[in-house]
Amino acid sequence: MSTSQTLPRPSPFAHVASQVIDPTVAAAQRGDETAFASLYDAHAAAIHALCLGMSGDRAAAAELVQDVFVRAWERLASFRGESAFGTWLHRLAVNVALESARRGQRRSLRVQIAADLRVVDGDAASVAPDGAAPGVEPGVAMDLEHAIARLSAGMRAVFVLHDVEGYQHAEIGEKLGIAEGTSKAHLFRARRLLREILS
Amino acid sequence: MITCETFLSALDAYRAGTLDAARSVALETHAASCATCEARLEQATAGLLPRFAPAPPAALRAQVLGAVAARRTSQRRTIWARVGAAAAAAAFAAVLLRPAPKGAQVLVADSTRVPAAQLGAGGASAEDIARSEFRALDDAARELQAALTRAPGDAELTSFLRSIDDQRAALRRQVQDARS
Repeated sequence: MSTSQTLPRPSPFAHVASQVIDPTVAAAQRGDETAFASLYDAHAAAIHALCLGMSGDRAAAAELVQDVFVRAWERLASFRGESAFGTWLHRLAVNVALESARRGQRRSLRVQIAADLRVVDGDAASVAPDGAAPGVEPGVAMDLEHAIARLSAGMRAVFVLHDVEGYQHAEIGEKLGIAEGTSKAHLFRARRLLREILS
Repeated sequence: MITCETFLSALDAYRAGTLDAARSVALETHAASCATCEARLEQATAGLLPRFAPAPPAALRAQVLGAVAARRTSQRRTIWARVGAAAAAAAFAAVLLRPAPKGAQVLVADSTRVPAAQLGAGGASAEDIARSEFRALDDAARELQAALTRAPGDAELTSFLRSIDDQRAALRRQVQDARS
């Protein structure tokens, strides 16, 4: 692919005076790899948490983190300081993680969420009598990482976007193609299942 | 469907995890469509889950930064290839633009796309090939300018761009000499 095809589109905010860009970000924009490594150090933990939460798998999360930072490197010139660099990076990471989830799922997240909720509507029989979530051995304590991995991809996406990334339900609905109320119902169920798995 | 009153009466059991699954789902469905009960549910369950803050594996840093470095090298190779192709095209055009022996016919094609062995089959004038090489130089310049937007002030890219300008000027002189 020629590099001209990867040119960033002009920002719709180009006419607005950009805010002062953090010197480390500005240095990375000039091609300074040491500065970029500093940006990695500052944001890797949060980006990794997002990727691990969305994928539910450590190896997949590592690949996603790599993909996020490589894309960030390629698109650094398009960062004009309209938002904090961390916000820009997280938006990029969410898009990368959602693209990956869509590629990896036979059903879209939207269809999967709808199916999950249909199960919820009549799932008394699918939940163990002691209240444990399906597939969880009673009495086995797990950490949150493994508990999240037990959720369906759609439920993980809603939980991570809301409780880890701080998105509002309306935004989640737009990203996943579901209704705002569906996002809320999915979040409440995800939290309940996580509490059950962890207890 | 349950009412706000039913919701309130079952909320403590929901929070304690003692409510059965079907009634829990009913509460969640109601809270998803009732702002007041949604706030009650949020308040009742706040802080029940630990914060999700897994530590990234130590090896990930080297893996990611290595991939970024490889990407940068790949971008540079692409630019070098473009600059090299443009320079070769310009040199080739300069040879063609030398005054031909009287009566000789120079038949050439786009040197950037057709191997030298095929030249003569297409039939383009030296003026055509010069135009083609100017386009090749323009393409290379655009590639460099695009790369410079990603790495503003990069000395190496700036030097490449200057060399393209020099090649363009040299080719322009060749064209003028050939015409005079």
